[in-house]
Amino acid sequence: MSKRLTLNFFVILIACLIWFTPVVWVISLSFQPNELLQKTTTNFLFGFFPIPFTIENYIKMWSSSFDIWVMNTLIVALCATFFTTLFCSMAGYAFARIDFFGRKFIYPFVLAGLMIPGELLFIPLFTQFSSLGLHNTHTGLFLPKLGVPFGVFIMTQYFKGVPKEVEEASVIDGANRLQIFVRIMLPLALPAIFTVAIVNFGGAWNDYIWPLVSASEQHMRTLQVGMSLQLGNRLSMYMGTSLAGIIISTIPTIFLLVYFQKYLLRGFALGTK
Amino acid sequence: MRIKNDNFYAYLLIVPFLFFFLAFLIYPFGKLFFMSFYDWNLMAVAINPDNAKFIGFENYIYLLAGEGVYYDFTVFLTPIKICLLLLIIATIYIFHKNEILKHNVGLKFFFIFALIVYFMNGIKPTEDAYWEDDLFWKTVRNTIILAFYSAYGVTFIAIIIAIATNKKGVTFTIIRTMFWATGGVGVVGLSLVFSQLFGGYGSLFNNALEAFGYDPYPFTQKTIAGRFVIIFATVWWTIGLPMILFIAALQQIPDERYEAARIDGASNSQMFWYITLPGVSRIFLLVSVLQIIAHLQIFAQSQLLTGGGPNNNSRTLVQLIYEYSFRDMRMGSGAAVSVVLFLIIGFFTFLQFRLFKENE
Repeated sequence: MSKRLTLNFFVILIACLIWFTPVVWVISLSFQPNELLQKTTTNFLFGFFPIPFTIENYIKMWSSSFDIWVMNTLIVALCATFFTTLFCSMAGYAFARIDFFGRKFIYPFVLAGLMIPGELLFIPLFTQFSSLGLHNTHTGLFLPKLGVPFGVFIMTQYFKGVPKEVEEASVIDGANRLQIFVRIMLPLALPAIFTVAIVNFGGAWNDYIWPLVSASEQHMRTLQVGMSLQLGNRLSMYMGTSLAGIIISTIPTIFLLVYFQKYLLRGFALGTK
Repeated sequence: MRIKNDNFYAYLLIVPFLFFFLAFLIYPFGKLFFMSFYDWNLMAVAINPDNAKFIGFENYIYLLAGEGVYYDFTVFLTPIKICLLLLIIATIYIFHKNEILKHNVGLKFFFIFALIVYFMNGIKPTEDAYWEDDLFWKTVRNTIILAFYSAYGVTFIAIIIAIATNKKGVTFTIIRTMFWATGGVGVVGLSLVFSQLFGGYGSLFNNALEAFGYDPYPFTQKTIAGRFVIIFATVWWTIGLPMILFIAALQQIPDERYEAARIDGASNSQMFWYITLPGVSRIFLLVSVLQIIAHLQIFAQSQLLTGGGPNNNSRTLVQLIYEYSFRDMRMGSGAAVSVVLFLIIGFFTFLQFRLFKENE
């Protein structure tokens, strides 16, 4: 039995290392000078060791328009995350706990919206935002993210699972719904809030198609769009610099995914029940 | 439980979300259908909204109309494809006999879809075929093939990894985290990395081939290999969440069931088919359908890795929408393609709900 377990362990370890090879390789490449990468990407041991070593790529990346892209992406992602999480938890609480007039009609309607892949609406959204004059603004970049009902679904499922007794005591004390929501329910819903927030932040940070069509001006580009347009133009010249940019842009999302893994797991396990 | 002013506070809480939901999801969704009936030039309409001309179903006719398409059985007569079909049929027969398919709707769905993709390869235009839009059908076929292989590649590899790493201990947690972390990479980074791994001459894989004495192979410039690179990149990128969902499902299977089976003398493979697989069948169905819906919208990978591929063989529907609307400025045609894609996605969503009901 234990012999089989060890074999199993080594197989999965090797698979995992192969799976992670591209990441290691790219990190190593980003520390090699551009002039070398123009000639070959597999210099020393297929490029897996950064020899000759340089950190110039990272410095160069920051001195290009990279910082503008980072600021744009950060503003858009943070605004999208904040407003989505806030509005979704508000709506989720109302749908889960308040027996208001019209809930039987409105909640299924919102759930039906889950079936619409919001990413695909970029054509009508484009004309809509043209007439609103919101292209090439931060507002225009994050507003379409607020309409997606995924967060409401997760929050509603979570609030339904909170025991009813928690609310009852404060109802007797004469608190109104807003007070109950802010003081009692929100702190209880932190795992679900984290799930919605992280999924939204990751989605907004790595969003590609909407910024590509909406932010046409240089100074409004987000990381993904900026890098993809730059890659098209001068990849072979500045490979190391581009890879450095990709690594910087990936750090926040990977960090969030890994750090909040447990919360995400719990949030999704509940949401898919 | 009702308290005072419930209706007022409830509406106060839902109105912000509902406003954005109606303004940026429902309204654009309606407008998409509306636009698909118009000759809607991006520039002309931007100058004057009256320039949008109502043309009825012409956008759809342009996409769908053509003559000279035929169904070619001979493409199935290559030895590999005959073996593949026999393999599918044999597997279905064995599963059917052992009653594995009976309670596993997700697997049933997989075989139905596999047969659809198998037979789609036989749709061919004749030599002098005439198409209003010769890209559209090709793109539909590419999209469905890419979505099928990506979705089931993700699902099956995720199951294998989940079963292999569903153990206690720090090492397994680290291994799981490494598989999970690749989801944080942005799509542009993903494409650049994979183009450097499998791209033209001088990529990592080709240099390795050369080092071992083989000829280099331009993966992204070949039909099958180009699709394979896109699929591999997608699987690498999206494996994390399905894997975690499968692990959550595996941990809910009670240990007593395995103990009881072991006492009755069941083999490991029997335990897999009759305990593990039924235990994850709900998540299997959920994950595979969610993945299909997600990968039908594949865009950036094919745009950046193969650029639509040799002879348009990896061009996808979302790419077509983007090009029609923003390169050719024909928003109406783009909207019509979107509607078709929505219908395809809607078909799979509908199938999912039907199968879920059957499952319960």
